[in-house]
Amino acid sequence: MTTGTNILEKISALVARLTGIIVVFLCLGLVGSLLISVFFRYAVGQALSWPEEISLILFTWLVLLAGSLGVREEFHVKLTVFSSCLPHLYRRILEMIIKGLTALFGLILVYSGIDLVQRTAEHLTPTLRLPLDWVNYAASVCGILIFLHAAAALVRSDKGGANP
Amino acid sequence: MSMASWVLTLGFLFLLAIGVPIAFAIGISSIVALLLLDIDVVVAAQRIISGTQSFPLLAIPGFILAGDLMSHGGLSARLMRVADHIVRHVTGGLGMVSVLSSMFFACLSGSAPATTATIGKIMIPEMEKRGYTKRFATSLAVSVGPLGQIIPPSIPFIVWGVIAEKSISKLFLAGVVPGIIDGIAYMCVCFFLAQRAGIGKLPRASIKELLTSIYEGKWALFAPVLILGGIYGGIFTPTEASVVAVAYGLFTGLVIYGGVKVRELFEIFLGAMKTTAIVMFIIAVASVFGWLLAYERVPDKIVGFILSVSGNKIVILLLLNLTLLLIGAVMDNLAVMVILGGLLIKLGTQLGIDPIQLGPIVVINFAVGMETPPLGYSLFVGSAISGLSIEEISRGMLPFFLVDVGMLMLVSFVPWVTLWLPNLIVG
Repeated sequence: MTTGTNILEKISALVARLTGIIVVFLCLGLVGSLLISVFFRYAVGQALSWPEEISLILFTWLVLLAGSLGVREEFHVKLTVFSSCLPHLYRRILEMIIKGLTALFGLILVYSGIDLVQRTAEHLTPTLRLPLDWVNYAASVCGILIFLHAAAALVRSDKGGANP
Repeated sequence: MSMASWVLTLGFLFLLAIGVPIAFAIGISSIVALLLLDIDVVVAAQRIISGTQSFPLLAIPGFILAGDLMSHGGLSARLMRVADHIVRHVTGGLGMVSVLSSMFFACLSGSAPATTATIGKIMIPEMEKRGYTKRFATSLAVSVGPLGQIIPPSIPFIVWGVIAEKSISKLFLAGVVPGIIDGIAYMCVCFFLAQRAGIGKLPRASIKELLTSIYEGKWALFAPVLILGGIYGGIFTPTEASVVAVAYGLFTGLVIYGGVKVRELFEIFLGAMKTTAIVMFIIAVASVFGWLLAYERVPDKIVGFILSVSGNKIVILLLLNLTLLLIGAVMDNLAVMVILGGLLIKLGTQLGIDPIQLGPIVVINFAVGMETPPLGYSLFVGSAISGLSIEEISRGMLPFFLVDVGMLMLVSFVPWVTLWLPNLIVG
């Protein structure tokens, strides 16, 4: 059991590190493509059509990946007025319920995202004619990551461990 | 309202109250409502994806990153030195430096907590050293934070522009006059409170000192000219201006001032993207909630109810302000905009309020929410910097809160305050 818990925690930590690196590269791609667009319009006198579409695809992935990171690092905003008034034991139980609900949300997002990909399998983006799946897979991937980090946090809090 | 509508709203409030992060409280209650309405849950993924597929919203990571780079790069410190040399010799001068610095910094950043953090870190210890109480210094830093999202560029104005389908450039301009009036009013509060407390004045900066600080801060002072001049000169869209600001922040931070080191870039970028995720993840998930409200025609029903209570524009505007203030205190401002945007626009149309005026009414109400408990981001930042409790800071904020309420009345009942500049420049 302990080994399984450690493996889950290690996977969550590793995935979070990788996600952070990917998010920074997505950000660089986003800023870079928009700067190229501005540069070409004013320095070269040519309006490019691809940067807007590429930057939107990168943005969707950036938001959903970085959003999943918030589950592990607990940077998503919440109200703590009620929970902070509870005795320690009840607070821990409440925290576990919240993590369980978050994991459930992740699972539903996986299912919902896969359904979306299946329904739009033949669709293409308007300008570059890229498969729309490139954008839509972001929901499922985000769901998987939310589930992973929430499950790891749930196991961690069950053992009374601190947040990373 | 139907069973699903009640579950959606009350379920969300319950989850919020027990401490579920806002984004997940919105997401879970929306999914339960989808199941109750027998709507395919594919709508959840579809709306979350489409909630991020908006070109104007790309300005959000840009302005957050630019603000972080400029703050790390030393631009904000130079802006504060200029502000210091302009007003420090007046009674309450150091408080005024906080206000003026935050107005300068607001031209680089669109975020209230970022403004409080930048100003508070330097000004709270400095003011304490000069005889101001820590409570006053912190309350001031928290109060001036929201100027960051009233004075352009502003993240909430970007979101409102997307929701109301109005020009973001015009909305940015609509925030300029209220931002300046708010800043001047805060400075007056500093003057009177310092005079009452008998806090001594600092020596006036010489012309040479002032000119030197302006010269040393020229790159920082040019940043708003580049960002806002680019937008209003028709050179960039607000989204493009945000990435140009990133490039400018990188250039000045790495090359000119040297405040940013290459090895720090990864952490700065990642930190800014986490802040973006806090904001954008809520917006993305809230678009499911907003869609459900529209599907259930909840905005129509609520607007109908409000108009049945009173047809008097003044009464409704007062009620609207009070409601937005209360909602802004307990909810994330951008989530509320996405969720209630349709309702607010419908109500504004019924009352004959220009959406460009309605934008600042909504944004300023929610900006005040940033400095009020229980969910005031600027308040949390101020508490973290100063070590004072939320209650202690809140007690010192009353005079500034009264200024904000006065500002809201002005923006609500005097359309000129918000519409004059956009009409003058954009037409």
